[in-house]
Amino acid sequence: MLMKIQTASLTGVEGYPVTVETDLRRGMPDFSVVGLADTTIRESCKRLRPAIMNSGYSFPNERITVNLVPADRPKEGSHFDLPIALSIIFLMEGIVPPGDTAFLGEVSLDGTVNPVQGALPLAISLRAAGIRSIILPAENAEEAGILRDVRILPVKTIRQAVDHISGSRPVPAFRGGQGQAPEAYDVDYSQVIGQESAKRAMMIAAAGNHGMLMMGGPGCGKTMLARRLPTILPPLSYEERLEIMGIYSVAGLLGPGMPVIKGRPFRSPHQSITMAGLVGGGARAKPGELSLAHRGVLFLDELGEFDSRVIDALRQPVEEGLVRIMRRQEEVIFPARVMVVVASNPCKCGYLWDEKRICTCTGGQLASHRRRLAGPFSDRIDMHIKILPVAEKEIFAPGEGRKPVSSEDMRRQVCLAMQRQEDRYRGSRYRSNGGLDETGIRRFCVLDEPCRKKMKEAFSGMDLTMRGYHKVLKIAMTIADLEGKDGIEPDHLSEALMYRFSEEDIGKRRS
Amino acid sequence: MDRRIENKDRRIENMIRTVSAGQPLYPAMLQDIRDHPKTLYYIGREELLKERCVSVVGSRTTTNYGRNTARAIAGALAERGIAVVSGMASGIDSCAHRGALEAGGGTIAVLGTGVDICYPRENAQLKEAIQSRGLILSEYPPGTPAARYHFPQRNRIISGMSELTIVVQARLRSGALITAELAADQGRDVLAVPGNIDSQYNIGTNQLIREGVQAVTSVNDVLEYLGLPRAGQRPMPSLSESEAQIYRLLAEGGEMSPDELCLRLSRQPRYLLPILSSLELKGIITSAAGKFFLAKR
Repeated sequence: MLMKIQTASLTGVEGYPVTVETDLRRGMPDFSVVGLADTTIRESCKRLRPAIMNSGYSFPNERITVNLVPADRPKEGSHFDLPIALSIIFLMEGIVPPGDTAFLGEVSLDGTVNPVQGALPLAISLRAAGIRSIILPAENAEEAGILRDVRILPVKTIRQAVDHISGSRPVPAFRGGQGQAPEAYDVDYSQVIGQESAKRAMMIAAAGNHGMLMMGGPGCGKTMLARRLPTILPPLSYEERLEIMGIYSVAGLLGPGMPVIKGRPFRSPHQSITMAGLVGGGARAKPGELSLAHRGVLFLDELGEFDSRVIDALRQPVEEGLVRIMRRQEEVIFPARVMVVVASNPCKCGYLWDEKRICTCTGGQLASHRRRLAGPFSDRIDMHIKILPVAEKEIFAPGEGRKPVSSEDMRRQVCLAMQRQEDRYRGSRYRSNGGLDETGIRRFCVLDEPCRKKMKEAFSGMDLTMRGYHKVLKIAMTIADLEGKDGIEPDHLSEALMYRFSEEDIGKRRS
Repeated sequence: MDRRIENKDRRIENMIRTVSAGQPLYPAMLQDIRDHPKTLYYIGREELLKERCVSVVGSRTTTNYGRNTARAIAGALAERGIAVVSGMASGIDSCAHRGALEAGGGTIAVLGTGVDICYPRENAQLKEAIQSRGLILSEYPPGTPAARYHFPQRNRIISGMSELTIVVQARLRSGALITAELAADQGRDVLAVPGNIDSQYNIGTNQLIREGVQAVTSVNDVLEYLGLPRAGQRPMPSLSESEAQIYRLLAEGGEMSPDELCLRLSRQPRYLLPILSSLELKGIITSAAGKFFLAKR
């Protein structure tokens, strides 16, 4: 007797459909699972017998062979429990499940169905394969409920699933989850007093997807500014939200506490993070902080305190927008299109820029701090901005004659600038000004005569390097986009020239 | 590799000259002090030994204010043919030397090591420049390494050579205060540049003023004190309406951050930042640590 039912498996954050084939045959009672199943799946033999019997069904005293098709891809995860259990019960009870229904779920010995990791990407791949209904653990209904055109059927026990398929007691489809809720953030740029020029810089960085390095003394508001960056990025599209939630689902971060993602992520890993923690990996490849920040902001506070090898491992994934991890037989890919923001003190003690407190760093400490900030990764960060403490006057008489710019205003401008970039780069391999390489800069950042003159002055007067020159052009292009201009104008270059550090700023010439 | 170091040593060795007390080249003012060194080792333009000298000294840890003031004073003096004497330490000393060199004038660095040694090492470039366009001087024979007690010792030479010692910025226990004390003991004049009383960087100089040292309220004060022609009003570079507005604000308020300027002008950063940048490019203002101020020219 043979039964085939549908489920799915994961590679990275991509799912693919899997057919569970179960065969019952006379012979020595035995239970084996084949098809590159990992230990969790093979252990299910032991779990399923009591689970099925405790649910009130009989367990076959026969030779059971389970095959997971395609048999040549490694499979892992506990969500194969439910489909395997059901295939055995269906065979025993003579039930034929509809072909457009798939099953996911882990089972307990008492027959209850436990939540699984990666339910959303599994469901997405099943939807793509033409599945119309998915039976899954009740705890995963909220995250999978974000899918619009699939019936999500949450179950708590094996018996519920069987009753639904046999038609004796259908399970109501899950409806109206929080997944459809509008995007919401609990922070806003209007909460930031002063720092108007820093906000302007944040807006430019967001509009052109430029990496940003913020330098400033302790407590001047670097983290506060960075945390609000997701609020000025364009509203999340449905597809983007699916991508983000898929990653969180695989990482096991969606649960009763946070069933859905409400807005663009902001990730701020601690300095002690390892390479696997940041870019992803591990024995069972998990997305790292970089992928958890996908479509959002990755913030590295106190850049100098991170292990420099860990930071430099970020360079390629950030440029490519994805992480590749080689595992046993296949390459796992995690998406990683992030905006990178890093922050640092101007020196080790933090008071280099302070006029009132003494910087106690020695020349050697300043030099080592500079070296830490000058790795191959941070060298590719376009915008360098200085954050100063807010003047007393602004703290105690806020909004005098001026209202702080709000996230909504800023986001509107960012969206317009992004639209201009989309139009300009349509059909090319670029997506944003921040992503332009040398060829792209030469093709798109065209300078007219007054601009060329300006850059010539800057080149000699500010000792720009070639890379510095390219950064200025990219930033100027974004400023032009924000201002709604088709080409770069001298004023845009002038402003772009402000977003860099002089040697004095980083203590290179204390004298 | 070894040979190259050897060659370089020999090159410097060949440049070192000596002058002894009593010889015509020995600085006359230095000869007057009680414990003047018997022999001086030097590299560079020896005619500077006969120039009028003024020392400009201060702490190693400084602020923009201190650095810019040191540069401006040294520059103004050097332009008028005065040799600016200092100790080539990092901070104010280096700024004084740079200011003098940038003005195309002469400067004398009195070291606490042998003249062939560069201490601190990060000043290698500055030392090269002083060797070729100014004078490096020491009482210690070539090859003498840095030692703690050398530096207060050499301070007596800095003040002894100079008719006037200007302390630009000094913290509470700065070596520059020792120089000022020595200068007073030697019967030389001392001026001090006052600073923000909230800032720890200026406690030493402010204390000098409280004790009766004359305060420097502008570069012209120093020039007047020495009987030198005052700085003429430089012609204002042609500025646009908005550039002039910012120029005036900075001239009144000293240093300001872009946010403060925006607040004063009730303008958006997007309007102000390009103007600041082009003023900086023209060399009219400069920035450090995120704040802008008028360039001392």
